[in-house]
Parts: sequence; structure tokens; C-alpha cells
Amino acid sequence: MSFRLIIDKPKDAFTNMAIDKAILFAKQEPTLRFFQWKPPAVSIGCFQSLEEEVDTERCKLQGIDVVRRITGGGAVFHDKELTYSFVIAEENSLVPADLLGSYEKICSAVIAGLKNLGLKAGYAPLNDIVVNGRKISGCAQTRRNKAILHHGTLLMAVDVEKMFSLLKVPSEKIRDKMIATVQDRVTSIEKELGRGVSVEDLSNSLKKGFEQTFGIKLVLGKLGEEEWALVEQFREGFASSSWNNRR
Amino acid sequence: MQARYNYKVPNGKLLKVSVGFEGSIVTDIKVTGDFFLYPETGIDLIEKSIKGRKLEELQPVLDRVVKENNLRLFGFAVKDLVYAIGMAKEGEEK
Repeated sequence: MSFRLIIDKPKDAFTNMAIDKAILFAKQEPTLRFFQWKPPAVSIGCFQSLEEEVDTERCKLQGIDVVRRITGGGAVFHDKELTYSFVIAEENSLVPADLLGSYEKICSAVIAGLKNLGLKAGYAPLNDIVVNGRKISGCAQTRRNKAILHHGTLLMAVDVEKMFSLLKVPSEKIRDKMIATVQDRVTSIEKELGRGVSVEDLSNSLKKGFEQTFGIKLVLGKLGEEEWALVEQFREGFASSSWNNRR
Repeated sequence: MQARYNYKVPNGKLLKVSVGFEGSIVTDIKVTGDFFLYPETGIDLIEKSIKGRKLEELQPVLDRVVKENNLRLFGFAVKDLVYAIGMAKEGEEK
């Protein structure tokens, strides 16, 4: 069985989110997409309050995009990372129907990809992947149009000070993590490997991880015309104040 | 005035409630946080069903809304939301 692989050039936050939604709403061709964010961006979960989670003034001053996702979960600073999105029909038996099972299965593909790089990672329910007890990847999922969109980040390097200068992290969340400081909560591929990894090497490792886990072959492809039309339509929504300030 | 409470669900996600009360009746509510809910539009149904209800009615009302609309909660349960609203009320009374 073959799935489509899309390797995108870095794009702005609104276009990135529009592409993920377009793939979900278009033909529902099983797709794995790798992408990055230019300029860097903060994304928030669809149930979060923009005002409570993000220092929007500071983001604006620093030229950082801010966007609300169509998926739940928390706020993320997208800078030195590789982001992936995976779209598959809900009825496809390669992904368990239950929520926890589906998160675990898709995360296990990312974990296999990290193993290909020499990292021993594990799934930390509900939506994290950890290395040595520290978060290296977070993910979120939505189900629309009888399909699953699951997207997540992989931290290649991390500037914790910058990240938390933009995000207003609630103390309750930190308290429950058994980690004393914000710096201790997250790690990166660079930190764990002791060397940097190129986007290409990380993408290849992840691609193999998905192929191994799902028993599929990923074939390089691109967005179709119908999808690009949807991207244009959806991008406007993601860039709108009414969407981003809706909660 | 809105009463607020942030509740980190054990082994789950963060629920933030901002609630308006008249006595024990909820007049207004906003639920935010890093939780998951499928479909996401269910949050509007949940908030709408809470308004105008007494605290002690919330659990059965929400159980029914979740069941009737096939909502799937991930990272929290109805009881956690009811707890957070109850704690917001307690905080308001202090």
C-alpha cells in the first residue's frame, strides 16, 4: 500500500494550517506531510484562549505569526523544529478507531523515526513523546469529514527562554509534570544526540518510521488543484481575527 | 463578576472555567484549555447546556448532552468539568 508524502518548503502559519485542513477536507488521500514555519509562529489549541496563552504584543514585535489550530491541545512555539501532519480515513484499519489507540499508533511511527536516528523515545499519553523523561514532541488530532488529521512537532533545537517569553504557561500544568523547572520539561534532538541533525536527515528517518510502523510505502507527491483551491479559501480564515480570537 | 478556576485533570489536560453565577444558577460560562473534544463543535453544546442550570443539575445534563451528541472527551471527563465549575463557585463565596 502506498501513501502520499509531501515535503514542503517553510511557509507562514496560516498557509501551513490551511494546507493541513485542505488535505483533510479534499480527497482524503492518505498523506504524510513534513513542513516548517517561516516566520516562526505560535499556534494555540482550538479550545484555548488566545489572550490567556500568548503574549501577542511580543509576538507582533518579533514578527512571529500567531494562529489558532483546528485541533485541541496546547500552545506551541514553532521555531527550530520539524512539523509533520498525517491524514488518513477514519475507516482505514491501519489506525485504531479509539482515540488513545490512534494517538499511540501514530506516535509509535514518530518514535520509530527517532529510533532510526539513535534516540530511545517513548509515548507519554495523551499526546506527548519523551526522551529521557523530557518532552521532545507533542501532537494533536481532529476528526472531520470521516478522516483523521494528526499533526505534531519535533523539536530539533530549543530556545526555552524565548519559547516561554512568548507563551503564558499556567503554573498548574508545570506543577503536575514532576519537573521542577520549565527548562527541564522539554528537550530536543540536538540536546539528546549531542549534535545537530538536518531537516533532510530527520525527514528521512521519520519517513522510514512511518513506513515501518504502518507497513506502507511513502511516495513523494504534491497537493492537487482541488487542495490548492481549498488552501486559498481556508488561509483567509486562519489569518482572521475572528477565528484567532474566538475563545 | 466571573468566577474562575483552573483544574489540571490528573493524568489529563487543563480545564479553565470562567463562570457567572446568580445564586447556584450558572448564568454564563466559558471553558478553555488544552483538552480535546470530538467533534470540536461540541464545546458550544456543552456551554449552552450549562447556562441556566443549577450546580446540582450539571452532571446529568452534561452526561445526556455527551451521549445524545456522541461527543468524545479526551483528557477530561464530565465529572472534571462539573468539579471545576463547583470549585469556581466555592472560590466566589470565599
